Amino acid sequence: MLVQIIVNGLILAGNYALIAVGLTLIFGVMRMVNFAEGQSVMMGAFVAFTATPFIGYLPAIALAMLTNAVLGVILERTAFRPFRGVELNGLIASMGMSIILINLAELVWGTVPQSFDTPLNAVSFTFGTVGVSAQRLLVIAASVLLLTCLWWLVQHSSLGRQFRAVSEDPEVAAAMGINTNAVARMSVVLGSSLAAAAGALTGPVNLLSPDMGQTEMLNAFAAIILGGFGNVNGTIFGALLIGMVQSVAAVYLSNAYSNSIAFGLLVVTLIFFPRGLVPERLEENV
Amino acid sequence: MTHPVLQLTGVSKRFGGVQALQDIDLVGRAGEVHGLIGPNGAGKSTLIACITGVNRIDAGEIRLRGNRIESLPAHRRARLGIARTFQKIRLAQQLTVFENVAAGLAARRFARASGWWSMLAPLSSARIAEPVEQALLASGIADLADETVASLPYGKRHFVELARNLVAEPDVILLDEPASGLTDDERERLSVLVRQLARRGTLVILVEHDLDLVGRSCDTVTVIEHGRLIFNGAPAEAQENEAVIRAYLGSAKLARNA
Amino acid sequence: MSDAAAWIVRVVFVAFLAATPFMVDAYWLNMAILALIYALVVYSITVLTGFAGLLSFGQAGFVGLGAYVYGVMTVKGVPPAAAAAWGVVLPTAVGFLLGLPAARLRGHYMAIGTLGFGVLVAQLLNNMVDVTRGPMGLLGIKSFGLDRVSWFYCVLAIAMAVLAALEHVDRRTFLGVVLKSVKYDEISAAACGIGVFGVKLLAFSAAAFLAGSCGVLLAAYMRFLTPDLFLSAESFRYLMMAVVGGVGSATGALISALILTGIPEALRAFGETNVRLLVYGLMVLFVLWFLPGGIGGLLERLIGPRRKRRRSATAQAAPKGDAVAGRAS
Repeated sequence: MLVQIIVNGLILAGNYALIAVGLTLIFGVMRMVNFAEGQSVMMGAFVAFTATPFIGYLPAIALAMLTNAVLGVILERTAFRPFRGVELNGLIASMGMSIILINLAELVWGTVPQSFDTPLNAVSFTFGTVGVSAQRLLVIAASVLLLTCLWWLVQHSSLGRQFRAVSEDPEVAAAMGINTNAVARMSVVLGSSLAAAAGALTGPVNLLSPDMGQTEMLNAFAAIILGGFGNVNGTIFGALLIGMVQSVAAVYLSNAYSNSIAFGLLVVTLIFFPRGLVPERLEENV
Repeated sequence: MTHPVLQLTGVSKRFGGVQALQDIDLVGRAGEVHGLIGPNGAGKSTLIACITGVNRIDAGEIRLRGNRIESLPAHRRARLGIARTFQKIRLAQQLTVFENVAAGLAARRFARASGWWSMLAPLSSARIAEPVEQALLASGIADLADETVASLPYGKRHFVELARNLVAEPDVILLDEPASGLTDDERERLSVLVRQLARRGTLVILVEHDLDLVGRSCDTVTVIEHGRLIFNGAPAEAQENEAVIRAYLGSAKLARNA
Repeated sequence: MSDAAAWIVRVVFVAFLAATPFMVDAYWLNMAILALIYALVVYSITVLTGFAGLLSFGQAGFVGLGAYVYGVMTVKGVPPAAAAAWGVVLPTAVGFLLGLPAARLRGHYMAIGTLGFGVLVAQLLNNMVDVTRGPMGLLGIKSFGLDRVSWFYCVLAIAMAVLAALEHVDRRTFLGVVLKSVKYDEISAAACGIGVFGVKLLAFSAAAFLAGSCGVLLAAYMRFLTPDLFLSAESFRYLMMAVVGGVGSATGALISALILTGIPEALRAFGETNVRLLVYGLMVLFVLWFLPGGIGGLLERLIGPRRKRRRSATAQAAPKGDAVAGRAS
């Protein structure tokens, strides 16, 4: 039971973290919430699903990430750049994009949920008395790998320095010669490829349908808020917390309430820590 | 002997590891123009923020007419009669000058519990329009009442903030570098306004780099440096004071300008 | 455009709306009624976001609360009028209570915190089967016994009355100034003596009141409720209506509620449901690209600047006494 809970919790956490980190990145750079992130998850899952029979599962994940990178460029141009500084319009525009993506997907793949079978689903490892499929372990391992890569990118690469500079102060960053539009585009590209990875990885564990991704995105929001907006490490921590709590709740309480648990936790946390568990620094200078 | 209007005793404030203010004492009396000067980063704006309640102090006392106010939130202090302007002007850009100034009435209206019920009063009613028009007139911007703040030149916006303070009829008014970006004419109007306010019994605290204005307008000067009080007294004595001269990089300037 | 012309536009607009029952069939009249009911929750976003600068992703939760309080009570035999009163009061009270922590949150923290509230309400409605009958839906809701045309005029009257009240508050009252001062700059609002927290709490409760009323009308009109009418996706749909309408413009909110409810139906001409919603999504994008101020922004450009010369009795009054108003005698 314990192994099961931990594995399920880590899968959820990895999934939420990949989505949440993308959202955080985009928010940090542009101060905008990408509401189409859930649909990026869905598109990633379906692209991988369609490509797997032809090129195999692992290359299909890569392909899904690449396809979504292109989607990210489109999103940035249509839903974010025109609304720089008018946050709410960007939010609604990305909502408009998410309606478009859902309906495109329903036209292409139909509305009936499909199961996405990979060879890894058949292989399983035994821990004590519990069997865990290789696919489940892959979700965890790949999430950790991707998050580590992202962490390195943000902390140590020159792109990461640009991200941080723009997050800190876009005007100063621009004055330092950083192309803020390119950095913003990069944030959406990364955000939506990470979402694609989340979809392609967890697709085989769940069912695929065009309306997937929405719940995951809401949970990712909760993770972001718990961790403090715009903070990558805090976000991962928040995702871990929510994934684990949901996994425990699914076993000991009821599955029907697992979302309530996450958001109940969120609401209670916000009552006591109005700026999240890992607060953004601020003291307004007047 | 009545209480001084505003009295600070041993006020200290830290930001993280930085001691922004240490042990500041200050006494301001009704009808006084009190200059607050010091080099950049000395803590002048922080002191204003502490008096008005934007920042909470770590130690010390702030008394308004003898009552301690240091634990009150900013809006309660405003209702007790403290008004201020901001170094970086803070007005609602999209609203008209009239509406911005009307917002200043909140200090008076909400000072009574019935204020909440009078929120539905139309802006054109006498109890709102009249004081606002008076304040606009006093600040010399009556003709701009229906312009949006965004459409005004920078100098005029100072006077909108001022009018918003006047309309509250405060006992203490803190002006954070009100003369920056003003034309000579506007400066003149500002100093006339400050003197008028003082004559009406208001304590005006003037944070200023423009030493000319300080020298001409102030009755008392408090000088702070690195968050510490280094001088308090008449403007004329300030220029003689060694610590003040040392603190001011352009020490000669003080003497020359005064 | 002169004042008189603006009045003519208003009268024509209202007359046009009032003529709806004579121009359309029952299907479209039904849509118009629903749109006018939804206008109430879009107004709630006008108050919250447009006036006070707060962001809620959980308005559907208040609508659901109002609807189910009314629905469950009438099913249990409470007279509709009493149930309606409870259906409005309860969400308002919940809004006030939620506002106590939520009004302290900033920007996105508030948005996601209220989203959390919305998710919780939706899940409760779904899972409290013995009260709400959960996914099976709540049947047998009693109503006021109005026919469809009467319903239309009732909700039209309510929508127009709230519209007039909001426009009045927005443009002509001290309350409007207070709310917008908080929206534009909390620090300077506090320096003016405005209790920012109290004002936010007020806006929050007022928005919950409007959303709850929307829920009551919805339940009384449809007489059948399911929890998925109140999912978070609905909150986002309301937000979309508000933004397309131009946040802060109550008139824009009303028009947007009518258009965005009508268009997906009108697009049924496209047949296939996906193409229809695809076009809908694209239209939202186009409005945002070409009308950043939404419908309200467009109206302002057509009907003239929002803040035109305010005529007041004392505008030209001579100053009395000393130019500087002072408290000291």
